[in-house]
Amino acid sequence: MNSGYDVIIGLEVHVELKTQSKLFCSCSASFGAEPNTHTCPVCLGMPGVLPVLNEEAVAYAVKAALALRCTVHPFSKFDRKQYFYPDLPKAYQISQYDQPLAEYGAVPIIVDGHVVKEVTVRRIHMEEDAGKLNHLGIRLGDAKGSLVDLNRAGVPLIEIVSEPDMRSADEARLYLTELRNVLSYLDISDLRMEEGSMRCDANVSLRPHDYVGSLEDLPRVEIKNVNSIRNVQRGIEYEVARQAELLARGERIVKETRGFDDQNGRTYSQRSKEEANDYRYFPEPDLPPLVLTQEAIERVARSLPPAPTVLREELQQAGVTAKEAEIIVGDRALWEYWREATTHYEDKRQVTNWILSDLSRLLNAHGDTWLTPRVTPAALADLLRLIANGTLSGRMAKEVLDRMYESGATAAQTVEAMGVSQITDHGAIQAVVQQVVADNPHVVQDYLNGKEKALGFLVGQVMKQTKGQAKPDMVNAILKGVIADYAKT
Amino acid sequence: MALSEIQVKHVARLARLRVESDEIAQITQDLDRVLEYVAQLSQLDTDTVEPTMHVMGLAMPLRADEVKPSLPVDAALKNAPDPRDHMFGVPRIMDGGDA
Repeated sequence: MNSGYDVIIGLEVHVELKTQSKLFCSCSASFGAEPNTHTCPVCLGMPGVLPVLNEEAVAYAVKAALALRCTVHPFSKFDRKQYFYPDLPKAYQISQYDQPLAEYGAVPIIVDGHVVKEVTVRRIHMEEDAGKLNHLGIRLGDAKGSLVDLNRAGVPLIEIVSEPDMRSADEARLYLTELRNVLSYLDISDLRMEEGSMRCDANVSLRPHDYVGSLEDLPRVEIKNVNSIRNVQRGIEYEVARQAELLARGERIVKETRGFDDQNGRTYSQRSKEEANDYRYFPEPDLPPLVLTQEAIERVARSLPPAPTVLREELQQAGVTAKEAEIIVGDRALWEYWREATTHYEDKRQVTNWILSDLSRLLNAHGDTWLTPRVTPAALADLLRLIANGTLSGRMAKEVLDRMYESGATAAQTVEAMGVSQITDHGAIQAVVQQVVADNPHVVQDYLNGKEKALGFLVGQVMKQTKGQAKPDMVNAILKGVIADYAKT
Repeated sequence: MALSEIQVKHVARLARLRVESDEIAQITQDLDRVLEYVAQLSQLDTDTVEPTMHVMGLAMPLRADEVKPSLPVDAALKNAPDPRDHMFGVPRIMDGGDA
């Protein structure tokens, strides 16, 4: 990468709160309903109506703010942000401008299980979502018109604004990942970027090393509404390369909004921001200030679940690697599965192995998630106990787990139904081994002549004759003993 | 005069008001007088006065998070000039949007 500039990235993240009703009216806030079935005079912007704030939305927003280590202000207010767009029926959005709900928090950037940096959260404010436009045409540019669905208009949002603290597309990805991790444990949002319940705008600029002005004066490009964390990273990567090329050619970077095309990985110009940002905010006359008592804020603070960093530590103390811990913490349902399974079975390392390999494989194969695993943590623990007491070999247990996953039966039931059970009887194994040795004198001779691989063949024969049920380490030991005796004769 | 014609055009554009070029001078003059009148407030010393956020002086009333029936779609679309597929049809949008 060019060493002539620093990459400066700030992110604005909108998160839809999963309240039952909208922010300022009692229409349903749920996703996916028939168009315009969740509207009323308030969210349609009819004259003479009054907004009334949803207390649950406030509670969720405070939760998010505290979990992101922000200071929640006991006094905040709502403002009108004015702009004309068909998805905004009132021609203004009720938002919070100069006195937001919360300020100055932090999101850690985690690499290999360690906090390498903290990104400052500049502010968190509450606002209402806009409606959804369905463009008649392939792209906005050549659309003949649009159809507006106002179900989403008025759904509660929080906007989380970072300081421009990130210096690479990778850091932006890690910030978003950890932000989503933190919020996922609060149960306040679906956080689905592909459905728009979490949306990200990225501000990207390049600061030449000889630049002496302020960050605000750097020409900044905003990449709007990208639909996955991966695409935010791709969009930023493209944008950094594009701006670097402009700088290298001695051209000016224009302050503008750009979209991201995930087909070709490029950003494209949407409009110039030179004049657009004149929103003429003023205090919302229909809403008095939002006053929160210190006691109420502290009550929410006490109810917060442990932060992902705390969970990571717990996992690593249980012998889970940093990489594995990242996978587990990154999926709240998986974390809950892990925690429950480890209360049923104490070898946490073993539990982790089975969850992340075989059970994950089965989930993927069946298109399931950790919210709906077909083998309960208790059932998995039972299976692991059968390995520990020698009833099953690891290989047999995998087959049993496959069956358990299909049938929903317990480990014991499955073992009985399959007729599998590990042979640990020394005499029984020895009898088979002696037979195999007697049947394969040439192979035994090869082994005695130093051909190590020959032993594997003999083990395979024993396993075949016992239908894979002989305990593998016993087979190995007994086989070596029998061959040693054979060599003496 | 404090207000410029460029500012008036800008404000008119933001408000999507059509202002004919022969009206600009008069509007600028009128608007300037309005601002001048309001500017009298600046003579007051408000250093020790708390900003007024809201004239009612109330704390925010809150509503329980309960869903109540919405309007029937037909009623919601009743005044729409171009309802289509239960949605509000709008003309082509030239510019990008906001969120």
